[in-house]
Amino acid sequence: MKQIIDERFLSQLELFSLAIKDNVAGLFGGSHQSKRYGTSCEFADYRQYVEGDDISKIDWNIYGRFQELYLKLYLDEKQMYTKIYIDASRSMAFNDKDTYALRLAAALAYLSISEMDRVSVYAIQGKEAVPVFEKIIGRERFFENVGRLNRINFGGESLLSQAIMRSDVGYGDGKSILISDFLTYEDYLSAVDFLRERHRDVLFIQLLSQEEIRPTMRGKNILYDSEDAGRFFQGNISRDILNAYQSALSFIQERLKNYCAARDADFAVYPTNMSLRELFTDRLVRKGVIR
Amino acid sequence: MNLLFPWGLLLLLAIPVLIVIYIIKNKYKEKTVSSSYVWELSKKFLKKKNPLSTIANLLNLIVQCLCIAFLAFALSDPVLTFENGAENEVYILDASASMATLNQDGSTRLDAAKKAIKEDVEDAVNGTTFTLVVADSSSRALCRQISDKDVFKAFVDRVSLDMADSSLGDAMSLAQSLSSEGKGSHFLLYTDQELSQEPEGFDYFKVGDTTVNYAIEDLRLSCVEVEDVPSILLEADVLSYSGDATLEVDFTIDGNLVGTQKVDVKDNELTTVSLTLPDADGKYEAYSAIQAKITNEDDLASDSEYCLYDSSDFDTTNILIVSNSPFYFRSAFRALNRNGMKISYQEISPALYSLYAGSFGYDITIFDSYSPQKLPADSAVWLFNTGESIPDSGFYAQKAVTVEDPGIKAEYAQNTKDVLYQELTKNLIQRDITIKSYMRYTLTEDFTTILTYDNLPFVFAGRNALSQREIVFNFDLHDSDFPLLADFVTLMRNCINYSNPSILTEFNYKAHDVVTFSFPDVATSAKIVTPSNKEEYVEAQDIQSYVLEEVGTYQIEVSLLTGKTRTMKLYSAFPTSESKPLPVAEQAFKISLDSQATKAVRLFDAILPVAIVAALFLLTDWIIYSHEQF
Repeated sequence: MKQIIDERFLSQLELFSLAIKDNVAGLFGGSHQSKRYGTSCEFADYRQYVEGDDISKIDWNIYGRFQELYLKLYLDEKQMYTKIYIDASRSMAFNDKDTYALRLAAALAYLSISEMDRVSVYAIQGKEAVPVFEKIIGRERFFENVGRLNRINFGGESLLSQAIMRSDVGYGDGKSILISDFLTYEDYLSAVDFLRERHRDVLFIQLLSQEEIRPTMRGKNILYDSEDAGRFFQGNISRDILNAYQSALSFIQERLKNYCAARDADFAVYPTNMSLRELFTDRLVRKGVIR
Repeated sequence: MNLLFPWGLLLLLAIPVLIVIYIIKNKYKEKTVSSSYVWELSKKFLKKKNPLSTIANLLNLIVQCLCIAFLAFALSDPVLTFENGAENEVYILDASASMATLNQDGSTRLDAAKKAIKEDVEDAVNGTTFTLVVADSSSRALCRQISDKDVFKAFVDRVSLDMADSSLGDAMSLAQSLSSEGKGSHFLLYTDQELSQEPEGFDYFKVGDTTVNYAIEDLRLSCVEVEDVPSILLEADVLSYSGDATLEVDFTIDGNLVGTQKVDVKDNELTTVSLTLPDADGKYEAYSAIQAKITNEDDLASDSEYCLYDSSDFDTTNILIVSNSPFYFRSAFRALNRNGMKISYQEISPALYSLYAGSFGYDITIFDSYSPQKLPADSAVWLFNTGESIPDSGFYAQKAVTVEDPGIKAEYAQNTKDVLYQELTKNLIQRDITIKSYMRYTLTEDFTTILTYDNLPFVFAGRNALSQREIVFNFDLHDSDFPLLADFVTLMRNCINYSNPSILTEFNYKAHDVVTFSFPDVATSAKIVTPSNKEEYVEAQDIQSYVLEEVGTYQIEVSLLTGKTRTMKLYSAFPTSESKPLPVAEQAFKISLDSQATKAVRLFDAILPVAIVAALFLLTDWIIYSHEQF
């Protein structure tokens, strides 16, 4: 079993919370602002008193000043539903990326759990988003279910967009996080549009190993794709090829980053040589993904 | 192009080894990566298509192979030959006697060769260096790799004829040894000699445009009787190198023309021309100089005459005998005079001698039973039975010893390894000598003992304290049977020859022969006047050697202590072998048998820095390649 829980780190995570750009339309009370007026302490607006209103909410200070009855409205706080998708393709099993993906998913789930949110984790295998655990609330349930992450079998291909679109993603009730290397010939950008159309907060995290960021191989090679042996690259890996590789990788990242930015979605790169703590406290905080 | 170290090309074997390494190590390696997507996409990001991309994989290999090939080339020490290049021109100039032959324009062959060399030097491209090897009796490099044309031409002008044979082979070897000292060289040989085979690698220029040459190779005089009349016969060996000819030969004795003979000679065939002269009064026989000369027009005059000299007239030995009874000496000298020696002697009594002092001008002074107070400074001395010690004589007189009958038998010392002993005992029968009384001497100088008895020196000779030649007999001739023996006269002759040697015994030589002078004690200086009227001096002491470098008559003037001067002549004949190299009947002054006017440049020094850079490049490239591949 992979060690995916670092309890000390999780306790530090409690200091943070996942930021959400849209107000949440959940059913249950929680710690995230809702679009509705409710009973939170956060002031929202005033409106004139109509008969039948709760007189305890009349702002008597205003009545003293203007001799008119106004109600003081406060925002309602609702529970967020966080859905974490893990790319469980074979490519993610290379260079221990699977371990890093599971740790990241667990950390993000705990961060959400600690905000009293509901959390579901899915493994995308082929066209399906297979639930690992769903609708977990509370730390107790989290620790009961987190071990199930180890059951994810990384192999085969992952059709990210199709899998997400075919799953129940909800509507305007929380955040969707996709953890993948995004090194695939398949489409994944449609998923961004799909999720945003359903008013989900979107966070795409690209997980790359050091070998993928800066390859060390040289000379004449035939490089077979781990997910499809029919795809391969044949050539002399020279300095020029390596420079072109860097350009291609940058292109992929920039394209996804710009695509996400254009749709008010978040995108972050997580190199495996970076610690989770650094990822959270530096990159995600700086991007405003967590507070 | 030539390779001085072709083994360096073995380095080329490294190329196939390198290729094998590339083939083994440069095959495709198969790997599985998480995704080939980025790699495939990277093809679109290659900035530009390199036209060499198809051979890009081979570029390293090609460059490395080129480096190895270049290093192998550099290691093999290449010498490049090309036309009209600036390099070291090595001129080999024959300066032997035959080069004195006149051309049609009146210049000698040597002058013509020098002129041709100077013209060639003038035409050389700037930067060319010049070396001059002179082929004469001693082949030598007169100058090496001079770049200044004027300076080199001055060296060429300094070359003079050497009246001797030359060894072109030695000169070529010397030139070749010079070529191995540095850069490539171009060799040019200027000579009038026919070469048996064309020397490889040399450009050969034959010098000489004339064909008329006659020579006298020898001249002899003999005494004959013609119809009972004593006569002399003069014979000259003449030769024509210019085809059949009728030669006219003049014979001269002591400066007087005594006859002219005509003789038909065939080409290159030795013919003797003779002249018989009646000589009843022996006038001609006592000649001092005989000359034979071909009067036909000749381009090499040096070998057209021949002289015989005889200066033995000057070899009369003057002897002073200080004795009361010189009978035996007188008898011996008369006998020697009858046998061809020239001895002039005077007798003086000891009493009369004691009245004089100093020099007397004799070659030898004999003191018989008389002890002078001092020895004469200007002559050799013979001391017979001197009863008292004489200063500087090299011995002390101890006592007189009288022996009872029949006397003692003195024997020859048999110092056979001693040169002086050999000279004084030459032709002696060496019978023991009976002596009845003698003087006992103690020697203080290093004398050679001739006769001895009971380890006592009885006759000894050598240099005394005054460095005079001295011969001592410790007994009176009258008290011995020696004058009655046949050895007496012979020993007297040997003693005279030792005490008063002939300065010259031979008067006819070939050029570059070595003359040996034996100067007597009375000689003070010797001057030699060469045929070209140069004056040279040799030390007039003992035996001296002198090399005859010119052809013609040498005059030797020897000054004596007496103030007189002895003058003699000798003849140095033209070297016979140098008369023979005749030019072929070509009008061209220069004959280039090989038109290969190429000049060699040794590339190694020039490409060494490039080779070092190539080696560094190869090393660096290999390190980078190894780093990438392995």
